[in-house]
Amino acid sequence: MPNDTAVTFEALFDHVRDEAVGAFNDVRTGVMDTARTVIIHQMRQIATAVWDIIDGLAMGDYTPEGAAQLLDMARRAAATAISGATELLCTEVEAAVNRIYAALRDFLSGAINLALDAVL
Amino acid sequence: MRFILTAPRLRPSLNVAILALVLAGCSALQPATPYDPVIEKTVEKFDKAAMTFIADMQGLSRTPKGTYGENVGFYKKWKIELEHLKNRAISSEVGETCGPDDELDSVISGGFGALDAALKKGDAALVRPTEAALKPALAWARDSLEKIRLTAKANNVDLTGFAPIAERFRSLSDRTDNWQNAVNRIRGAMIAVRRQATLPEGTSFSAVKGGCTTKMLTYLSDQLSAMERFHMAQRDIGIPPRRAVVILISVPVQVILKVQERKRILSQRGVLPTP
Repeated sequence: MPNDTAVTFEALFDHVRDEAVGAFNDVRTGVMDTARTVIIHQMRQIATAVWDIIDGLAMGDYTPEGAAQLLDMARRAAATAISGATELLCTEVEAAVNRIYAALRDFLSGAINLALDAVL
Repeated sequence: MRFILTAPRLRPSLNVAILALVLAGCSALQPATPYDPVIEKTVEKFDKAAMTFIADMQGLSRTPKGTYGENVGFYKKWKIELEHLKNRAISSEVGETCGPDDELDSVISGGFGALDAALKKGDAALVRPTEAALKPALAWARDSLEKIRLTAKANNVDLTGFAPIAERFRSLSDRTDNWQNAVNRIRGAMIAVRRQATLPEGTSFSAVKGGCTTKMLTYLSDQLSAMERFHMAQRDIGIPPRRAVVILISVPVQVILKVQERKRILSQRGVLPTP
């Protein structure tokens, strides 16, 4: 935090930059994590289930009506995975924005006090 | 570039105040519903109960105790719990949408369109060798064996030593028949699935409206209802010891728990609102 009333762009930028870079790295890690754990892993599981449904039909373990319900469940599972991935991405972005906003707010609250001191 | 807010004397406070007001407006950005420990705990309990129930049912498959009629209680209990959880999510939902619905629809229908095309190709590939090649070959082999048998009989030749060949032919013939039956089952089921003829009106998948948490919990609740209909449709087979049901219940559970876990961690770090 600067000790005089001069609030420089560099001072503001330096203070927020570290938080912004950290937040961006968190978003990047979060996005990769989301892609890996939710989209790829869950879609692979759903594909395994669809294969099992076809195999189970051939083996007589599933009735055609039962298999139709399972394929319907596979559709819904895919929709849940997409909603979950969207929610995770929004959460990561929100967390990053909140972190940068908090850094700016802390800096500016100090700057406002200094500016008010200078005015008053 | 050096940007100094020093003169006139009122400029620093004015600029800083304007910037602060703009940032205050940004604080309204809250696209995700806050972490909810009740959702996390209830879904964890459901996961444990569902996995136990499915394992028990798989052990009782093809027995009277494994049929839907004998196990209605599980569905009744958890449908109420999940419906309550869905209502809780709706009441605390911050966002009104979870990405463009058109996009979701196109991903889902695109994925299943590709699956449908793959099944049609697989269906064609299965039919060709059996009907176009194997059946004439088997007919030829059957005729040849008959001719050999008749020739041997006419010439008083003992065919005892050739019995294993005839046995192998019968085995091959049986296996081909089994294969053909399996192909017919798959083809019949796929036609039924494509036409959705076996799914009563209003019971098949349709994208729901609302924020992401509402959507996920609605899908989980609907997934349990679909599992109930599956159990019913399986008649006396019940739930067989196979992977599909476990996976299709686990996927929404894992996704919801993953989202809640991440929200919990970010809340603890102070970068997301706490419950």
